[in-house]
Amino acid sequence: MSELELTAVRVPPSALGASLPQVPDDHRFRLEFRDWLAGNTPPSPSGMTEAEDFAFRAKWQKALYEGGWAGPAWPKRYGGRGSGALEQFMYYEELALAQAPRVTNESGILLLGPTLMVHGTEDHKRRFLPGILSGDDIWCQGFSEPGSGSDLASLRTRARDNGDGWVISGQKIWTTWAAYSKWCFVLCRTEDTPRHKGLSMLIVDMDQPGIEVHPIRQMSGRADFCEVFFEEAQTPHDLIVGERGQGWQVAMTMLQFERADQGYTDHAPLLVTLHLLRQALSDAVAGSSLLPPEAARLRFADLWRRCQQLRRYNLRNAVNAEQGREVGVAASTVNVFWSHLVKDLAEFKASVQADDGVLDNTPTSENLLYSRASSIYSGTDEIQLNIIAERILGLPR
Amino acid sequence: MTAYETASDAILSAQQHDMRTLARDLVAQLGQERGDPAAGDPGAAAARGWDTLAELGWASLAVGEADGGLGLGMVERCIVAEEIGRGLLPLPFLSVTLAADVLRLLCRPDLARSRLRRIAEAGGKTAVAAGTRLLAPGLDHVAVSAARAHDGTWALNGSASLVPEAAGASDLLVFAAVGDGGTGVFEVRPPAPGLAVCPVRTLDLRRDFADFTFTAVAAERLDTGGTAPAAVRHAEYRAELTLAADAVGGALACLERTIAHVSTRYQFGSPIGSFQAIKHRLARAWVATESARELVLAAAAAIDDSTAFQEELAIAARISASSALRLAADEAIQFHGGMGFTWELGLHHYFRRSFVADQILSTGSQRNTRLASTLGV
Repeated sequence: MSELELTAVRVPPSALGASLPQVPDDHRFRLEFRDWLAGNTPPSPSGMTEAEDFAFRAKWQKALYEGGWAGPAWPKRYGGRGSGALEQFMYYEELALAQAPRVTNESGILLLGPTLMVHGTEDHKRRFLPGILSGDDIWCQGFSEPGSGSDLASLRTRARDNGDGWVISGQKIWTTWAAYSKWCFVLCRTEDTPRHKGLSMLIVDMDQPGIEVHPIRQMSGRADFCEVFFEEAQTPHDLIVGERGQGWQVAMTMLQFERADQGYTDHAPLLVTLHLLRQALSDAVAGSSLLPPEAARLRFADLWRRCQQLRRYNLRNAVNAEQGREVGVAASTVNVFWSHLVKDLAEFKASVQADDGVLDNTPTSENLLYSRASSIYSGTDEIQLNIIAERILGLPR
Repeated sequence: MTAYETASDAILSAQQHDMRTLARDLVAQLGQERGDPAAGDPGAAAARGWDTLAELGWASLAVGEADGGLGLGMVERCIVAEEIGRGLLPLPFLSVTLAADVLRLLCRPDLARSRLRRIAEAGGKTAVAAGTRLLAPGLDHVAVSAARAHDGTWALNGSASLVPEAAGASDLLVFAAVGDGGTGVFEVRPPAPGLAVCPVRTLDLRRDFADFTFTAVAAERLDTGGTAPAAVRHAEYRAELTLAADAVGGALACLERTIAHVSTRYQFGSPIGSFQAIKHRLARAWVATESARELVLAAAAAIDDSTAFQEELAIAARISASSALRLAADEAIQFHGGMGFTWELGLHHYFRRSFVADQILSTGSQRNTRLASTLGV
């Protein structure tokens, strides 16, 4: 079964499980979006180069933007729909059912834009938010450094105030889409106070002589993320987000968006993948599966069960958010649950579609390789487990 | 625990939330009175617990309002079952709710009505007996046969072994093979001539089990004739879900006790709960338990809302909950060190339950296969 065939068909809502009363299958919001998607979703061509893939995704984001569907969670005055959490939940389910491509500026829409809405000035919002939503400006997140991964607060990239503005020197790493980005959120040290207390968040124009970007080839063969070198790079005073020395709070807001987001967005594509593998299961008899049919059936059932758990988690978090409660540290629980599921599902897919699974550079094998990142980015599993242990279970530090 | 409770109860109504609080307080109080059933007589405490549940109407929450019950849904049933499981209270909640379902779903309405009323009025202890191993209403396992005399009366012969929560039952519903290859539901009211009830001590000291032998026992047939397998499955997966909630409660109790212990037990100058070797394993057990609880509530909501995938979700919840209890019980014993291995500390009761309860109604591997079949793969 080729990936092309996979994207040709719209998946029935039953692939996701039961119709939930909070977000029913025939909800007006769903029907409206479903209708738009039916007329506008492009099938994903296979065998694109990375640059072609990027251009394809940019075009798709533009189409969503022009249709008014790019940022459901964004307030209307910034070009979004002002949707609550339950509509967002439905939005991502419908995107997955339509097998829509991913957009280019995912982190801009889900993390950086919302963070600007919380901590940015009115000027920031007017100036930057429209470009984030349309995808005209790609944004990246300059947090991790070679010496500061899980221990983010130890970071050493420094910005000094030379009177005219900020001058930044240092190095960031694992910066997703930096090679395509116009703007970067740079978490850097501006004060002499130690660790968390000495940080500020700066918006930096990537198009300047003081910045050099080196893509990093990932284990999957692609290069989504980069090293970014700052050598006396500059940014004006007014591009600080939050107060001087308050960068950590801004970063934590963003990380919380990142962890919570995996909640809303990720059960649906997993369930759709699983649904599409049903066919492969009957093909399994024909010999392309590494698993005997009975083992494949049981594995399928196991993954479906876990996807349903994830869906319920996401529903719960959406209901919480809808009722005005913060998702907070509960996001870490979802994250740990999700990361294992992503890995196991990718492995299952590669095992039952072994013809593709063993070849390099197929969507299936790339997905298998890429899935290994799920327990590393946005806080490793080990960091998430610490958060659960200390902040949910109340264990001593 | 507060952060967790807030998150998890988001989908529950205010009444359901209050019910959980009340049930938790009640179980804590009954648990204090209970003592150790292995050492003394659990009967008195169990009876008191059941009376309390009956006063609240919870003993008959599965009975419809028209028949004098509260007519509550599966979500409420799971809330109560979880708290009973947390306290390991020896109450016949599983068997009485299952009996109400069997009466409602499988029996002639005119005959069911008086039995349902009896459950509602007296908090009656009606149990369901079938099968050769534990409680297995699955029609393949029936080892009791029913014969009809010339005068139209029925007599049962055969046996049902390891039936849970049935030793003290005032009414017994028995699945029995009838001549034409079908299965019927029969009522026997112990003590009855020809009925032998033999309590069996299983590993799980907090849930009673008994073997039943039927020798020409007079019985009344209650079913509509030719009991439909689909209806049996409806009753069955509701019971599976009740067991899942019970297991989640047990897992939560294990985790709560362990969290308290590792936070106050010092070695190498630090509370052992500050060591990542312990933190990470406890956090994982927590994720397993919490995600199982969410699935239990999702399945219960699916049944109450009459959506698709009721059976799939109920079986899935049982699989998740069963493994969560096993993991939590194992980790609780491990992290209590030598104390965890003692009789006195009582953690072994959860481990015992995890092993025995896992086999009630179905075994783990049967459930895995059944989920796959129900999903149509």
